[in-house]
Amino acid sequence: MEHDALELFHTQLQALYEKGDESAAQKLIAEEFPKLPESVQGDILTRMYFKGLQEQNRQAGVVAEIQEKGLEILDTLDVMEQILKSKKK
Amino acid sequence: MTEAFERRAAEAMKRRKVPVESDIVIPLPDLTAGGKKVDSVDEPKEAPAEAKEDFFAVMPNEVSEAPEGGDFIIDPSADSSAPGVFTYAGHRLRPVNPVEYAKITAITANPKTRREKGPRRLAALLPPAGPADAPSAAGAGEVVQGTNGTIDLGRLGAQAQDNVRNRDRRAGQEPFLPPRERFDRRRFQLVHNSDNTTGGPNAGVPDYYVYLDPDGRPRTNPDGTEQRYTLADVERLLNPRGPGGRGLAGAGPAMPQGPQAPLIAPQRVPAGVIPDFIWRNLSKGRIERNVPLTFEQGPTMDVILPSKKDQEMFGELVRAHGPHELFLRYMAASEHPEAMQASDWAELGHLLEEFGHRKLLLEEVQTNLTKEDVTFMLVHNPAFASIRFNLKPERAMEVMKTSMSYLFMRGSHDEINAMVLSQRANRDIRESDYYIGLNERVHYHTDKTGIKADDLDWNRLDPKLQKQILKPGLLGWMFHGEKTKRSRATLEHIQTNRASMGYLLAGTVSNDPVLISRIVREAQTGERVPQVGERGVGTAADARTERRHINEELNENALLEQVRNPEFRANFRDLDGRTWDNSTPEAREEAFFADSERDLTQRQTLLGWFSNFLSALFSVRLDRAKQRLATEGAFN
Repeated sequence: MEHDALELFHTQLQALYEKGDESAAQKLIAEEFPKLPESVQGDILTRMYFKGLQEQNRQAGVVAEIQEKGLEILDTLDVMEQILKSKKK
Repeated sequence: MTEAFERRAAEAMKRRKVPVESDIVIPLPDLTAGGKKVDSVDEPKEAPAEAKEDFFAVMPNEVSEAPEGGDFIIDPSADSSAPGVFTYAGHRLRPVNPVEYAKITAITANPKTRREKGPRRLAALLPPAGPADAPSAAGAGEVVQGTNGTIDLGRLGAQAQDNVRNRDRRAGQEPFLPPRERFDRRRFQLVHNSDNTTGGPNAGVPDYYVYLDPDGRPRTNPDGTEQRYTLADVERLLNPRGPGGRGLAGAGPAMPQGPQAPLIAPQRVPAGVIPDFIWRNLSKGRIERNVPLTFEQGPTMDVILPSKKDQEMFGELVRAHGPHELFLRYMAASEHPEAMQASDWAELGHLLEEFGHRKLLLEEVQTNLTKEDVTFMLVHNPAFASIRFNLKPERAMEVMKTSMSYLFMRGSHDEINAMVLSQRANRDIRESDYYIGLNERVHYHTDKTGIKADDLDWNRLDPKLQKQILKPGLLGWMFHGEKTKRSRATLEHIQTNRASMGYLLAGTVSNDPVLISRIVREAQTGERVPQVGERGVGTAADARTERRHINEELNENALLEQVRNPEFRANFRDLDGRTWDNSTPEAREEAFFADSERDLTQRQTLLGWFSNFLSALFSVRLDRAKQRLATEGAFN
């Protein structure tokens, strides 16, 4: 029973994924997820949670690099603006 | 005033290697000297050349000892496609060779902290996940006593060397290495010398063990004589980390003691495979790291049996990792002690130790799963956009904690590592002074430009603002120092660039993970807009084939039928090339699901919520298929 429900849900979602229909997928999840056995719901939520953590960890370094460079550029822009303004005077 | 300011500005420019040229037009700094130019958004963009070393592997000759407490970590979920490269919390460490790797003493957070405070230890150093019983090939036996733990350098060296060898092997530079042998405790057979009790001619020759090869014959030495092992040899081969084991005293049947005691002692779980310490929460949000695993109660059967939950969890562990009928034999032994053989007691001891170990790690993860985390996931993951109003965070958390209990029991060590260490690394990042300080600086600057980072939400953003945040070429300009028209700044350009930079930075501190992931992805790959369905199934026919493939791959009934098919078994070869009859149940299962595991790994590299959800669904189905086949005894 659990296997059939899972297979059907997976098949439907895979089809929407292939069509790239995000909103239909969200609708399907909204309708079908609560009907899944609780253990399956828990497993999906748990895997999504840890996957999210891993993704956040992975992104942290890239984000920090963007921020470091962005702040450096903002500082430089401030300095250049001051120089340009002072030259104009 | 002006003169002083100009002098300071000139010094600042000099530090940034920015030449001051004309009166009006100033070239922007080349932010990455030597970086390649990308002049057009239409041109293919390159990923940043190398992730920088935010965390440094510190060698003994650089710093003798970390001045602060704690330990350090090498993320065992390191990039498997690039063996030899290790990461901490997603930060790539500098490549190290096996000898260097074995000598790493600490990993520190960033250059400034390192300069000021020396390396800060972060967590316990663990080898990347690898064979539990891997013999030490490099620096065997060399052990360093860390501040809060012991590091077996030999194991680290061996693992790193294997990584390098495997990489070379893939590159065709080294012949295939035979896999290291995992000894199966069930194949050690006691040879009892009855002359010791009957006073026969061989009296005085102690009992010994032989190791049965897959053909059932005792393993022999090159000269044809039987290989004999003492009990100590057996313990050492099964558990290179040394004997341990805890008592099995309990209300149920007890392990025979005295002359009837089993000759195979309960084995300790090999350490270093899953973390052998926990993080304990203290008051006021403080945390005590690296608390050695100690069991206040048990793990013994008399602790497990009164608790229905513990019984179920232990049952799950036994089903996944032990002989399925062990539980039944144990229960039967209450009345018929002979139902449990010496090897059964040894197996039970091993499983109890594993149970206690996993349970403590589970408790740590469950404790650190907060309502805020779950709420954040439900609110910000588009997969749950429509159900979050029907699924309260409290309820979701309850369901997740129950699910974790069983996942932790049946999961592989790699899976447990991934769960425990990702949560610890995430906490490290959240509490890191470096990240907190950086975020505060970004907030300060974006607030100054009037942008409210907290209000940015990709799914509700005006498309024009989306383009403003991910302005074409902006990240390329940042990382590659483009010298285009844009890089010649006038006051007007400065204002424009400042606004663009402000929006981009605001995006990085927004609460929207989708927005952040888009920024990160663009920074890494240069791809403009992440597409749904990135796996790229082209036509409707392809889509049908893909669906059929998945359903065939994960159809439990079909899988069961396949495993039981005599023709399939006749042609079967496990990953070591052994036939079905010469293989073990574990090796059969591993080989049978190898393709699905590979498929799962590929799916996990996909990006975007849609594919993440599908990936989670795929892994749940794969997990269920494995459980079903194991329950049916398909591989026995």
